[in-house]
Amino acid sequence: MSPKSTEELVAAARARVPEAIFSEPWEARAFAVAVALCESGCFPWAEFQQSLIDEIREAEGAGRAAPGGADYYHRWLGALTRLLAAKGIVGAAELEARIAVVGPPPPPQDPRQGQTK
Amino acid sequence: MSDMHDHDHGHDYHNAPLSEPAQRVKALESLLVEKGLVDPQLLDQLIDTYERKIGPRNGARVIAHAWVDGEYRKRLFENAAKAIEELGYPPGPQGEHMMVVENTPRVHNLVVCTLCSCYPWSVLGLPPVWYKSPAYRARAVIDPRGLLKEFGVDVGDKEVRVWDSSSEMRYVVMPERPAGTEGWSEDELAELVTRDSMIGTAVVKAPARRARSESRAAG
Repeated sequence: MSPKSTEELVAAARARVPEAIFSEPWEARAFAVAVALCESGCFPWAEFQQSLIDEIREAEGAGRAAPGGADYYHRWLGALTRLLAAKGIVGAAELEARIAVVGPPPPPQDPRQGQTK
Repeated sequence: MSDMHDHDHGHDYHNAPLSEPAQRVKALESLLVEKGLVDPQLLDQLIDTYERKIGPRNGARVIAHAWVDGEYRKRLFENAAKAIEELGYPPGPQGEHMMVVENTPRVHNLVVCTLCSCYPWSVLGLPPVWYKSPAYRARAVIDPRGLLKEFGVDVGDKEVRVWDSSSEMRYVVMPERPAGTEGWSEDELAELVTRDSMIGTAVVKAPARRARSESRAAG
C-alpha cells in the first residue's frame, strides 16, 4: 500500500467521494475552462468532444496513452488548446509566449526575482 | 521590487514550481480572462459543483423514484433527460440526450464510451478514471463478460448488451430492484443504488435485514 499524504487524505475526506475526481489542480482548471467556454457559447460541446476524440485517437495510435487512463486530462488539455487555436481564440504562438511569462519555475538557488529571461 | 510573475492571483496554485501542463493551463486561463471569455470565480464554482454537488447520488434518486413510481418510470424511459430534470437535475453539457436502459432477469446492460469519455454527468457526476481508460474502453466491447467478471459481476446466461455512449446519446443503466425491498421508502432504496450499478459494472445487492432496520430508525 502506498501511503497517501495528509493533504490527499483530507481532500478526499472533504469531498466525501471514494476516488478523487481530479488528481491535480490543473486538471480541474482545464476541465472548468472547457465547460465555461461551452456554456458561454464559444463552442458547442460536440466540437470539444470531437477534438477530444481526435486527441485520444492520436495518443493511443502513437502508443502514448496510459492503459489505466491516468493521463486523461493531458488529452483534455490537448483537445482544448487545439480547438481554441482552430477557432482563432487563442493561437499556439500566443499561448507559448504566455507560458514563457507565467510558467517556468524560477531556477534553483537564484535569489533574483522578477527576472523574465 | 515588483514581481512580474504575479504568483498570488491563482486560487489553486501554490508557490511550488508548476508542472508543464499546469503552466499551460495557467497561461491559457490568464489569456482567456484577459480576453473576457472566462471568469476565474465561475471556474471555482464549476469545480466545486462537479467535485461536491453533482454525483451518483443524483442518479440513485432517479432510479429509486422510478422503482416506486410507475408513471415516473414510464416518463423516464420515454424521455430520460426531461424526466431527470423533473427531479431538479438540469442536463448540462453532457446530459441533453440520455437514455435509460433496463436490467432484467434476462438482460444485463453495460455502458462504455469507446471513443472518449461520454458519460451522463448530470446523474453520475464525472466518470471514474477506469471508465476513461483505454483498457476498459476496449474490453467492454471485445470481452464484456470477462470484464464484468473482473468487476465481480456474474451475469450467468443473461444476454449482455453493451451501449456505446457518444455525443449523440448517453446511457444510464436502471439496475434490477433487489428482492426483499418491498415497501421500502425511496430514500432507503436510493441508498442501495451505487454509481457502478448505473454503469453496469455492478448490480444492486440484496440488502441485509440489519441495514434496513438501522436506516429506518435513523430516518
